[in-house]
Amino acid sequence: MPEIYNNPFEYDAATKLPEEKIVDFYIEDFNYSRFIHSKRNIMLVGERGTGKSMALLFNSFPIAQLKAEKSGNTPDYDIICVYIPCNTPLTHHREYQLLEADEAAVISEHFLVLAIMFGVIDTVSKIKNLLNEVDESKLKKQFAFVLDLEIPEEDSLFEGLKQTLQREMTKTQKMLNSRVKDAFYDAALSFSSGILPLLSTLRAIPKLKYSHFALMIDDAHDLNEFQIRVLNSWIAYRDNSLFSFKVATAKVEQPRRITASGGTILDGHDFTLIDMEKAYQSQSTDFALLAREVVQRRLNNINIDRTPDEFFPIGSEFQKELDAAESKARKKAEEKYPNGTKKQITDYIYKYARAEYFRSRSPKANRPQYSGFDTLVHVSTGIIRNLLEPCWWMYDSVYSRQPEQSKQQKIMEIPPSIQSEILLERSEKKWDWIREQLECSIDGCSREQREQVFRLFDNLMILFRERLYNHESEPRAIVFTISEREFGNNDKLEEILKIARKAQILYTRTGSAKDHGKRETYYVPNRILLPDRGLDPNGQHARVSIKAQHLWKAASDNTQIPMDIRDETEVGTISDLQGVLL
Amino acid sequence: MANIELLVTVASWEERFILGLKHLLDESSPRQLLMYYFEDYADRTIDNRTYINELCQEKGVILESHSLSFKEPKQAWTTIYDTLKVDRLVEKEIIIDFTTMPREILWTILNLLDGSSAVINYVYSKPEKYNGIWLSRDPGKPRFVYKLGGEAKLGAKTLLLVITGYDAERVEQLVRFFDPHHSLLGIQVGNQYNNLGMNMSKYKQYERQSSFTLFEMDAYSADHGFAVIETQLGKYLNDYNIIMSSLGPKPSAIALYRLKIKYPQTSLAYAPSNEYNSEYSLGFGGNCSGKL
Repeated sequence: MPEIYNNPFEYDAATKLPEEKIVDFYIEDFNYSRFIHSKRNIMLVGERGTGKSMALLFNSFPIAQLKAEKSGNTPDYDIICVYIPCNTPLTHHREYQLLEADEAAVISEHFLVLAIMFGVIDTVSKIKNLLNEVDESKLKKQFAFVLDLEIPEEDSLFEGLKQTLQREMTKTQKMLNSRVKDAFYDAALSFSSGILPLLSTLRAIPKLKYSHFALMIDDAHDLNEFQIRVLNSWIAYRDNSLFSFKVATAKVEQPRRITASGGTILDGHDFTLIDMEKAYQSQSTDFALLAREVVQRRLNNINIDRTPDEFFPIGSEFQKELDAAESKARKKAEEKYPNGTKKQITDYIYKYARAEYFRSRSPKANRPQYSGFDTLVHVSTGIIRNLLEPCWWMYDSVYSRQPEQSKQQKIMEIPPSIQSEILLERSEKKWDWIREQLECSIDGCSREQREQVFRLFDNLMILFRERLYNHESEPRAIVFTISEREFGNNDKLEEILKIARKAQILYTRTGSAKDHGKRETYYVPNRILLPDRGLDPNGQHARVSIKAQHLWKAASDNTQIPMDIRDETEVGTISDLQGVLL
Repeated sequence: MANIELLVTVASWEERFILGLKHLLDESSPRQLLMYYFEDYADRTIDNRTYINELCQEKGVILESHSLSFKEPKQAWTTIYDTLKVDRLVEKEIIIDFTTMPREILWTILNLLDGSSAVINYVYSKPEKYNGIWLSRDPGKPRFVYKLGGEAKLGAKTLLLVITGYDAERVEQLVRFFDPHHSLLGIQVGNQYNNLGMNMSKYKQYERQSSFTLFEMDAYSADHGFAVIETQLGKYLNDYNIIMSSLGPKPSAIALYRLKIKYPQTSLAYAPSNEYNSEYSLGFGGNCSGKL
């Protein structure tokens, strides 16, 4: 691959990015720093691609230090954020299953304790000038004593500690891997014999005298049942002066909240839950703004002096037709409200202009040209990875079409035709995946359920199409709520919805319901599904209420979901706007 | 072959199971046949198991038969551990017929036997052709094989090595599950079983992605691709935690096991399927064999 191939829209997991790139890519406006930098226990929940790992990594001390250096500041030693990934081969060891429960719990805790201790040592070892004016040899003896471990004489303090922990880890794995049925390692470490003395002793270092350690556990859903329980027990620990936990986990099938002793940890009491798929920040950090900043920064990083709108231009023909539809809608609004207020007119245009565009197209016309940065933002459904992925393919497509002699030239825009081609291609692939392969990727999904998921989404698209072309008040509503859940097959419907959420073809948000400000869950289908069906991914601020049994009939018998062309849809408050639109 | 103490196999409903095993019994005359079967598919395999039972009686081979559970890997491992009784096999000669043996069971048996000083031979009976529509489906969650999870390093990045098969989605499943820093995809060469259309073309999409490296290998060669895979792993061995899995030609599982033993830090992962086609393969297309 020539060096010029530097696709700026790499959408790999944050854990694969070098530290410099994390600093370059992360948008500080969209930060969870105020939660992560608190001494409270925090639970971050969200599906893949919602930025959990990025939020944790960005706040980890090595990156905080790099950031401080870049801006000429001194890093803050009051809080040392330690990143601890769970999706590692260590977490996937299963030999504990061959042991009795008590021993399984001990070994499981030992693995987790070693991983956390290593993370802590690795992080503090990167703090510059930490051991200036510290008697390393004395400190090493102190660590060896409190941890009851032999630390190699010849290595520096932190290198020696890391090697000691690795030695313990290797010894444990060798023992567990031995060809003996109930192989056990009886020198296992626990929270109180490993993590606590380690953190307490680190405070003997002057720079860390008042430090609080934020132990950031990423992908906690990968931990085994014993590790989840013991982690919950640590979260239930009352004194958070020395340490706290920031735990990132998947939203669907979140780990249980039971402690090792059978107690329960509670949101608001033992920890604060942050839903990464929800707008927690101020108006200035809503998703559309964030998306723009993310893409702008990616373009700047490879010295492309273009705005996202310039780099992903809207097709001129598409824009012209949209403008014509808007004029038509304005005319209709003025006829409907001869003495109407400005708000009445703009509301009408907001609701009907894009619908007008779709309605006025010839039934024989090709699918619309999906182009423009706004379209990309809407297609992303509020997930950064969903935004970057089509951008990556678009850039790749333009690059691969360049003649060899032009490959050294910078790509300055993605032509609208290529944007549309890629969005349609990704949309078609997503449908193919649901129709043919879903059970291969989603754990717990059977073939029958795959067919049900496909039929459900197929019928949802038919409903959205019906609305777009015929609905009188809310034609572009493409999110839904579920009513009348008390029916015989609700459990089966819930299973289907859970699979769809795990597959990230469906997202949930909460918003205010019509009933006096009550909160309700609503469902947002992934908008990459819409282009293949010729639908508008740019939805409106409204939710369709669908009866549970109608959804189930759509999934099980392929029965069309009924639509009343005048039905009232639910509209949330302005604070829900981001969630509804995106 | 002479003085074969034990022949180990897993019963199947496939034609090649009967044809291959009959050939082996005729040729090697083992003292004992240890035949595992999956209770989940007991109905499908009953006819073939009955036939083998009769054949063993006729030939004076001691037959021991034990059921395993697909859904309970702990039960399967414990049963194999208890029934293989490796202590009795010191310096004895053994054949593993892994024709219809899931890779997880093959690796478990190899690992337990490897602990004894037994001489281990292996045989794989190829089919004449595979079902062109589907082979297996409803994959379950990937998992490390008991006792073969390796000696992972703290703080190291993950490398995933997959010997690919006809189903590209299962490769994606492994990548999603283990979320590796980098993936090496081994692609079988040649056009046996319509390999070019069914396998090679499906992985073109990864060629331009920086987190993937594709390489060609031949599981039907004498070393089953060992040397090629070892070369690919070379630069990652010191700094990465390496997870290896095989979804492609079965003999590649032998190569991966050898690599696992040579490099104890590596892990073997199994990607189970919850359903197999009752017409998985047709006929018997010869066999490939070797000594561990």
